[in-house]
Amino acid sequence: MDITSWRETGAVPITVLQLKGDLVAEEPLTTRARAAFADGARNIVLDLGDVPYISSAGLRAIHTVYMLLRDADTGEQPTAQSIASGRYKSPHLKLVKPSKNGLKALSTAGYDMFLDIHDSIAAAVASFT
Amino acid sequence: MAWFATEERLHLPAGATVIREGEPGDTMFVLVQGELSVTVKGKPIDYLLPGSVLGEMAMLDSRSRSATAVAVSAVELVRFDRARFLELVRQRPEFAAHIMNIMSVRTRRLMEEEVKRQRMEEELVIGRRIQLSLLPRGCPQVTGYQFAAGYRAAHEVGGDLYDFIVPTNDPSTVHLVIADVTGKGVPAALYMAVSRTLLHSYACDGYSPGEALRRVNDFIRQDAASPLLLSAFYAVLDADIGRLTYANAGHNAPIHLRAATGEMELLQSRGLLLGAFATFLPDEQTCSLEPGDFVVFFTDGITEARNGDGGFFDDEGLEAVVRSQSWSSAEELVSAIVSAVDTFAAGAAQADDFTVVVLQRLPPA
Repeated sequence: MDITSWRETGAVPITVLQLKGDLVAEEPLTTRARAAFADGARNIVLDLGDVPYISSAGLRAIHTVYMLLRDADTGEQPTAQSIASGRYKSPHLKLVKPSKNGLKALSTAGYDMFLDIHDSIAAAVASFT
Repeated sequence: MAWFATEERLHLPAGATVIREGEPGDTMFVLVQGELSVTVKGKPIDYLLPGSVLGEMAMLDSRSRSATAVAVSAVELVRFDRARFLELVRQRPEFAAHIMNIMSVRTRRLMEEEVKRQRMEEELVIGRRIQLSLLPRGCPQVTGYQFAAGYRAAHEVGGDLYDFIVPTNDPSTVHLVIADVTGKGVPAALYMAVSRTLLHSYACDGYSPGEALRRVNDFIRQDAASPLLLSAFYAVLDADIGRLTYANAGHNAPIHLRAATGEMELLQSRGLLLGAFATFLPDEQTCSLEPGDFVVFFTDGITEARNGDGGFFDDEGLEAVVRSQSWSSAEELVSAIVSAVDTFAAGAAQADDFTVVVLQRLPPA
């Protein structure tokens, strides 16, 4: 898996991680996300447009990135009720353009209940407040 | 490194291949700017940053390239041919020492990785043995119903679990769970063993599917260090009245095939993977099984089976099999699904465990 990263400026500083290839292992994504986090990134866009397949290890990687950003937020934490009712979506992690199979994996695992999924990087960047 | 201040510079765009595995190599490179991804047989092995050297092995052993390096961003490289390389080695001992140091570091790393790989391989085997020991030896015998199961382990990645629990104090109730741990090796197998034990305990205590999953989630989350997640679909069959009560924690929705209409419905019930959040809010649902109905429970190893072209068997592939004919038994349907997956994959390597469990409410004799 190749991961390219760059910074965008929206309402807040945003790091884009653009993934290419199947997301079938935890380490490449979490390593890059942790490096970005150590470099100050607190808002991340994962561009999944070139990810044909997300395995369970890939789902775990996305969850790890989500937790990394969530735990750094000292504000109100989500509850099961706020997620189930659709009142909560992560303010720090946004997904972009998952493939049909990727979207199926994310939806089955319930990730679309707490992560916003956008059609473009620009839309994801604009969604940060 | 001033040795290459006057050497030839090469500028390549992102995506360009600098060296290709298997091709003859008569040049080496020093990366001045940009980043390179290095792979062997398609697997990433290194990520090179400015200052890195590549292609030096071919300078010494005259063999073909051992890896492929692709520019992740626009790169600037210094290129040496063999004659210049040998000249530098002769003229500048510090250059030779630098190259030897790079090769020494890489050799040590390869040795460490080989030891790590062997340990992981051993752990995978142990984990697989534990996992297989957790699977049921057979299917429950319940008047008016038939159960059948198919399971196949993948070599590397896996973590499927299915189980039947028939409480001794309530033999007309069958608890059925199908699950997938997001991990491999001993940690995943132990995680699965604990989850299975908990579910047995909660089933025998009479907890509903949603409550049982909620309690498993609570237990998992008590161990904050655990990085593993578990998808699970838990159903309880009341065999006396043909009612299925179920809850889902991030697992593939089973297919309900109605005998009367031939229509298929998904047993929808939303829920997050177990372990993902501190609390799990179950969405418990029920459905009625009429005589002749089938329910197909499965893991993503079925729908995500791939053929040689990288295509997926997909939900459509599974649903096409389920509705392709009238099935006489649960066993027949399980065999047809496994056979269809094998035909589709056509010998392509199995990337994940796959499990399919079929429940049939038998038609009147």
